[in-house]
Amino acid sequence: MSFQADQQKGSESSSAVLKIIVLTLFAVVTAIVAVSFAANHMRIGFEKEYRMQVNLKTEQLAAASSLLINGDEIAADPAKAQTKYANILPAIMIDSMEKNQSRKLYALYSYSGGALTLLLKSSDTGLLASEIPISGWLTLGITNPYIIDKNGQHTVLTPIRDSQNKVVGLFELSSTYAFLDVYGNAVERRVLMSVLVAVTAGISLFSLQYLIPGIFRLARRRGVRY
Amino acid sequence: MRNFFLSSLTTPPRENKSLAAQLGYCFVVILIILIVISMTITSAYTSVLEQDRSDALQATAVTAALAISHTALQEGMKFPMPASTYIISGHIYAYKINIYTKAGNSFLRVYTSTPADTVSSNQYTLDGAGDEYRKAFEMQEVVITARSDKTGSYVAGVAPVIGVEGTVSGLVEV
Repeated sequence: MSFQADQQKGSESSSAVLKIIVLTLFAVVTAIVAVSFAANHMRIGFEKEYRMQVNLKTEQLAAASSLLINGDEIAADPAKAQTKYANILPAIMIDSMEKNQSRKLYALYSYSGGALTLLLKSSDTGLLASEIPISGWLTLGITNPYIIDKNGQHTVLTPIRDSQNKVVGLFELSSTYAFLDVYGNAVERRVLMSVLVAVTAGISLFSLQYLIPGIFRLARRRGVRY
Repeated sequence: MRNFFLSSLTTPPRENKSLAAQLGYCFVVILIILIVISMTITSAYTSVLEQDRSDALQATAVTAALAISHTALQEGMKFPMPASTYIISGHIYAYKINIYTKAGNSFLRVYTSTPADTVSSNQYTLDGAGDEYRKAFEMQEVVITARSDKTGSYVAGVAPVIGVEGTVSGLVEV
């Protein structure tokens, strides 16, 4: 009889341990899934907002810069225009140089005889105007800028016109936001690590309600014994 | 009361009480975690958005200052560029642009892009302009600053305007 009672007690104890393990796993999985979903949802919303903001800023800045660039100067003396705008454009293209910010890339070209000639550029990589056939678009008389949005880079190509409204140059401005993926991944990783720590701490605190009575019982038994 | 406190400490929760406690505890912990995570992510991304808006303000102020450089700043002047805009949560807003000339210890507004607040109808001086405005004027620097007046509080990008003589003749505030 005593053996049967011991066996039943052992079985109940195993069942309780199993319940605790299942509950713990459920809590961890629920917390991670809930937080991953929330973090990812918020990340997507913020990234969308940031992209919209950067894209509009790039388009506005490209339009303003093209108004400040004098087409007649480029047509008359490209070398002189190159020197002048090499001083002006860096002042306009304010880059905070913060690690977690978009980068601006820009280039100024003169356009004659159906070909682009590079006057100045801010970077050796990431410039697209010379890689795509835009001669047809430049001569169509379209006033809207040519926009390319791919690979985490928003590029705006704006024609520069002289006083005769003839296209004599091209201004290219790009904003890269490749850092967003790296930044978002880092934020999500930190968040998930925090969740794991919080869940572990929560389970430890939760288990106190079972540990404290045991400690009290042990202390009482010792009190009786001594 | 003492007995209740001791019994809750000496007896672990069982059956329905235990289940309710466990479920309640899990939900509260997850709720707290979600609130903290939400605040952390919002703060992380807000700083990125604010920095970008600050860059945009400075760039707009510089382009505006360059567009009117070497021109006379006077009442009735026209601003030669189209209105720049910015976007917040899918809504597009126009930047408010003010142009000031130095007037004694303050600055006198000679142009504003606000249609309902024309210069001729309402002469406006920057009496409460902070040191940042003087710094922008005297040190020829582009600054980001905050300003309040009777219409509200603003974050502004301020850039110096180079006048006809090649010296600073005024300020553009975006």
